Amino acid sequence: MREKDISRLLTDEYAERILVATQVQPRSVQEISDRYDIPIAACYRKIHELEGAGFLRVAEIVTTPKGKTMKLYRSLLRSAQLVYEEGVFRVKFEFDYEKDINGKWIQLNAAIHA
Amino acid sequence: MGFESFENNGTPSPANQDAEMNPLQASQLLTDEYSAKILLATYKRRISAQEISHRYGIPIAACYRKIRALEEAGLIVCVDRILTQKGKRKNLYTSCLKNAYIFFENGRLRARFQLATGTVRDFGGDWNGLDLLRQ
Repeated sequence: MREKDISRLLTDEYAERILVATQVQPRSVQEISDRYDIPIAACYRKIHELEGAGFLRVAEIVTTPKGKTMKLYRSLLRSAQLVYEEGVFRVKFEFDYEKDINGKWIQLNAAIHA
Repeated sequence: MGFESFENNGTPSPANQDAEMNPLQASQLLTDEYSAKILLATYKRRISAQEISHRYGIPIAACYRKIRALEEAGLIVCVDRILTQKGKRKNLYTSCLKNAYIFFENGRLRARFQLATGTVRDFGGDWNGLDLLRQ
């Protein structure tokens, strides 16, 4: 995963809210959209992007009373630290699984600048 | 540093607004793409909104809006109002954010801003055990 992608994910208006929303319990796209005031289309798009980047996964598939199936998403991020010191942005992630960027400080300035 | 003690006189101040900000809102002051760019643009520099917009590719209206939000939160400050060659006033901004920490763990989001004045603002509750960040 490249700095540019991380920076883009992190500096997105909705990604952070989605990750907070799905941290404790799995939630459906509709529920995230309602509770965190995210337009539904943007919510689907961003959730798929986060899923593709390994930040989220489908934890459960439930059937609604109307017989529709609904995916519940859960965050795979155990912790994240964003530090800004002396004009430098750095970020560090810990995931629930083996991932290339686990525990590594990633400098973001160049990516933010671009 | 006793500035805070003078701020509680009923008038809106950045400190009062911060009190209402939740950690997610505080965090998004930093993680918003344009806000992050503005913080970098104003670091150890005095720069106008037009110049930030031009250099960092931020639409001018959004640039003004984000500058105002950062100013209200006390992270940047207008240090000068200069006269342009066309006789218009132009505000120059500089960052007053020294350090910032955003921690997300156990489903909790916390943010800490350290301003150049020495003021520390915490969002999302207690930072006990993280005293190593206090300089």
